[in-house]
Amino acid sequence: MDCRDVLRTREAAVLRLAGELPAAERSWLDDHLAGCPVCRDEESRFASTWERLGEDHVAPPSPSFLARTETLLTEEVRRRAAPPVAQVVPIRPHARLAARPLLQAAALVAAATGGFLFARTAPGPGRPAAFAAATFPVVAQRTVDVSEAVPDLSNRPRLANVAFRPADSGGRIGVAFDVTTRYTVTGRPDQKGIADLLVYLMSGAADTEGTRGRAIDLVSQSSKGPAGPSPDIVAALAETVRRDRNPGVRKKAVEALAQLPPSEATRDALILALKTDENPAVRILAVDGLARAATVMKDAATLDALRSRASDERENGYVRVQAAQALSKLEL
Amino acid sequence: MASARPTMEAQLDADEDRSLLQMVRRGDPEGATGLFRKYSAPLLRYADRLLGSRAEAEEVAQEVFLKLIARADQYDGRAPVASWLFAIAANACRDRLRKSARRAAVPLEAVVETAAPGPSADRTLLESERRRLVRSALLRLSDDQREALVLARYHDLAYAEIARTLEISEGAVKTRIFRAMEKLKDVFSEGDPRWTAVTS
Repeated sequence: MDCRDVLRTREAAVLRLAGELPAAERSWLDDHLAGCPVCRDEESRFASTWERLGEDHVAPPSPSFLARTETLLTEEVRRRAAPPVAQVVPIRPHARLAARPLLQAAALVAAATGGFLFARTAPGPGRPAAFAAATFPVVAQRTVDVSEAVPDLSNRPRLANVAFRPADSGGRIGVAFDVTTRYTVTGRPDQKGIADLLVYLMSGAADTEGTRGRAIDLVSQSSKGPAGPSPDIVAALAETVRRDRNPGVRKKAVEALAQLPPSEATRDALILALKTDENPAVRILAVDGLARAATVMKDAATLDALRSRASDERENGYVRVQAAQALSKLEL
Repeated sequence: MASARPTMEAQLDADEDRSLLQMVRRGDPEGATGLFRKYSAPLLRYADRLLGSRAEAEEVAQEVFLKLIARADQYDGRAPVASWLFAIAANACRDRLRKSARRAAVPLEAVVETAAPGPSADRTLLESERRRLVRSALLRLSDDQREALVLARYHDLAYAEIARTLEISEGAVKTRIFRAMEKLKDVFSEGDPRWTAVTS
């Protein structure tokens, strides 16, 4: 048994498996296969081959590979971006300097931390300034419970190597970071101290996109309670949308705002994102958030912002469509 | 040709990739790490299947992103960033294959992965063996055929996209994939009795 169209059938069968067969050829193939057992067998073998190839699974990248490559890439970008003089590596204070005279260590710590101090109790207005650098203990690691002491972030210290510890049975998470000493601050995400720290991290203090995103997630989760978010959190999310240079982080911040109970502050932040963010994915999320808020608030500012986007010919087509769809649902 | 159509997600993805590449150009490491997080897994899979070695695939994946950093200013925006990355990976794999005669002696045991817990030991063994045979069959293809087929089968790239990535014509893509499928069909269905032994 033979078929003069067998080569055409084979080619068409492979093209169909790869999603490349034009519609006209598709109907020819189906008609032909219906009446030709030889070609049907050929087509079935190709289909089986294609399917069997799917049995070759490749394991995902290992966490260690991801971590070391991210470090490598970060260093490479920084190396290339640095001007030639920057190749002189600045000497940073390190905990090992504790072996040096106490006064020198205290001075280095004070300079590097920029006044990052922990109060032993809730900060009191009358605490003498001299307490700070002179008695600051240089230790390798320290864990602080925010019910006992809260970090002073007023001088915006640079926090490095930030890591989060999952919540324990009491809902207490840990936020660890390095200044010169590694601190782990523990407490519930809605407790002052932890909340301030998370807001601080997501507002740009954290070095990496991943850390800022994780801080946004934690803030967002802790704001879903009946009390809703504090104005500080909304303001910090809005600030992140305005200023974060990473579109992924801005998307997370807009998503978090969209999930908060609608308020004028969240609405204004979303409108600002819709009007000014350079990334269309961020603007689409802002449209979603505004549409959701408008079902509760039904205010003119939201509708105007959506109309303006939907009718702006310079706007990205997908954003326009999304805005138009949101409006049509709202105005029905 | 699903992947050839500019879906909303694909377009937004492409825009985000360009933003991240801009960050690399400005000297912001988050651009590079953002692209790495997004594309390390598919590039690793691609290189793993072309080279038959996980260790070399990891080296290629790193090489791709180091080249991206070095050449960020040369990206002309004509093709999506993802295609550019795959093109760099394809070239890096070709270089390695050219320089090495190792392929004939690929230790196939190396491609057998640890199976996820759950299935019985027999089933796990069978799945591992099937994976090993698929990988073995892939390594029998010519380099040209394999790189085109892998992009079509495992990365859902349209022929036009594959042509752009490999810098060949669409006709050449069609021919390479067809020949690769013919060869594999023979290996799987008739030419390789081991397959029958495992599947029966």
